[in-house]
Amino acid sequence: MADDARIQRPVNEPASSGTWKLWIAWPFVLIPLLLGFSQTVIKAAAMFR
Amino acid sequence: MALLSFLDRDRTIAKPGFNRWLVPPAALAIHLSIGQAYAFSVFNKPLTKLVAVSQLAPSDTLLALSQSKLVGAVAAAPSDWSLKAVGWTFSIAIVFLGLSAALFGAWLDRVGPRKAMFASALCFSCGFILGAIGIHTHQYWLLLGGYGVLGGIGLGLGYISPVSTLIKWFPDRPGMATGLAIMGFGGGAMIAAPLSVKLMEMFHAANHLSLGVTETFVALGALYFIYMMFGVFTIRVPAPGWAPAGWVPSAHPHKLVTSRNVSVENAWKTPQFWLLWVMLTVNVTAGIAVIESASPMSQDMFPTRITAIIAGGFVGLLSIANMAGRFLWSTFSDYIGRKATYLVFFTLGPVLYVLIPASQRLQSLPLFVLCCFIILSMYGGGFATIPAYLRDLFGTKQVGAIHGRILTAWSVAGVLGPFFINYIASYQIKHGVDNAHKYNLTMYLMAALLLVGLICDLMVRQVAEKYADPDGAVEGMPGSVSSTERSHG
Repeated sequence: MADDARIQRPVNEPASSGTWKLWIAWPFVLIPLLLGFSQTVIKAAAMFR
Repeated sequence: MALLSFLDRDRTIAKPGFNRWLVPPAALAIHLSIGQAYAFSVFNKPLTKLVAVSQLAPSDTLLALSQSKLVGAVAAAPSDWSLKAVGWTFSIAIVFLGLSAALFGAWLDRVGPRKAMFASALCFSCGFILGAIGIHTHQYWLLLGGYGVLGGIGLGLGYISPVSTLIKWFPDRPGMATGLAIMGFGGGAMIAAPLSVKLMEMFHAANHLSLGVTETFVALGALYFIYMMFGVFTIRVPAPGWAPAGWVPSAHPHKLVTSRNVSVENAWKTPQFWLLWVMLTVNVTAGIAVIESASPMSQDMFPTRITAIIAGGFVGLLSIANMAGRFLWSTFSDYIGRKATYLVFFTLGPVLYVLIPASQRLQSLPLFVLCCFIILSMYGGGFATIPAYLRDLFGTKQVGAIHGRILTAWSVAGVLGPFFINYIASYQIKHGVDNAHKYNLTMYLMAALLLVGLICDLMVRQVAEKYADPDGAVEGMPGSVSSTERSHG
């Protein structure tokens, strides 16, 4: 059932001057997400104790 | 107004060499913030005890308790808000999410994502502040108008703002890109729930005569405004004709994928739009059936094994499934196609809903948890895959506006779903069905409802040429100007 699949060729990202920005931007959103995620996992782990 | 000109679309066009992987964090900053809405329930109980606590004498020993214990120990005063009334705040916010997304979608496509994100941040934060005033003065309508209406408008604007931008940046992986952002909406609750609880505890510790809800609303309004500004400042739109370096659009586009843009006004008139609208309504309603009853259902079906605390953990597990499903299913759709992804939801889904009562009969907790986990992943997956499905059918030009209009399905399902589910539950109880079996009819009905979605999905065909814009070739599709005269960057 792949009649509308949109598989495309792999992408080569251009070497970018903004690489350092990635090191700020991603942790800025991922750290709170991971903190919240770990809290939820700890709470959910009670199910299997 | 030089400051506001910074919000103009022209000022957000990316310079050559801009790394497109900087766009998902901008989108995530918005979605992680507005995803707070899913954690509104942490305020439900404290909001029903505000007057009771304010009437305690400063010498009352109860005031020495922690905020959560105090909420449990104090009985509501007659003038306190009821749980049902407080629950309406979230429902109103979801209704206004859908309405504002539908109303402002075309405006967003015109003015660009930065201005829309800024408006979203302003509405969402001011919604908190107005809500805080409502809580402080105990004016119910101010809470409803603040968090529900104004905050809800912020939710709708924020929800659709980054989606069309991401689709344009990732023509090769639209499902993954939208999944990344919409995953944030699912994950936002995971941040907001513990954060709100901590803030309420902290403010209560500082002032024992307060439950800390007002102060927490103010703090969240300020915090989310700052966090959302990160998204506002970093969002960029691709220059016209931009495409990822080395990417060549498929020479043989698949049957469903259009090569012509369809305007929002025409999309509204196509059967495909309404088929997708029904599919989203059905998928959301079915998901809500599990979300709404997850905690009591698990305790009623497995009374000797699931306590209230464990049920809390189970709800947490489901929020992980909801978040993960948003990213995984939509990414998967880039490989198998949107139609096939929804076919999985609407064929596997009914089986899982039927298996829930069976898991109770077998007293198989792992089967029950597994069924609920996959169902919630598909609930999230449905939200995340729909923008890419719309892009396949209607092109990229007004996908933001079309996405906004289809979110009215969420508003309808968000209000009618719980109403319908609670009605079935009370009908069952009235007819003497015991607690362990009172959810069975709901699960069977949801399975049947998903089959309606299956029929709709099977009926989806490519949009007829007559609906396409005369000058609207989709960027990156064969035949478009930009696919032959593109500038890489």
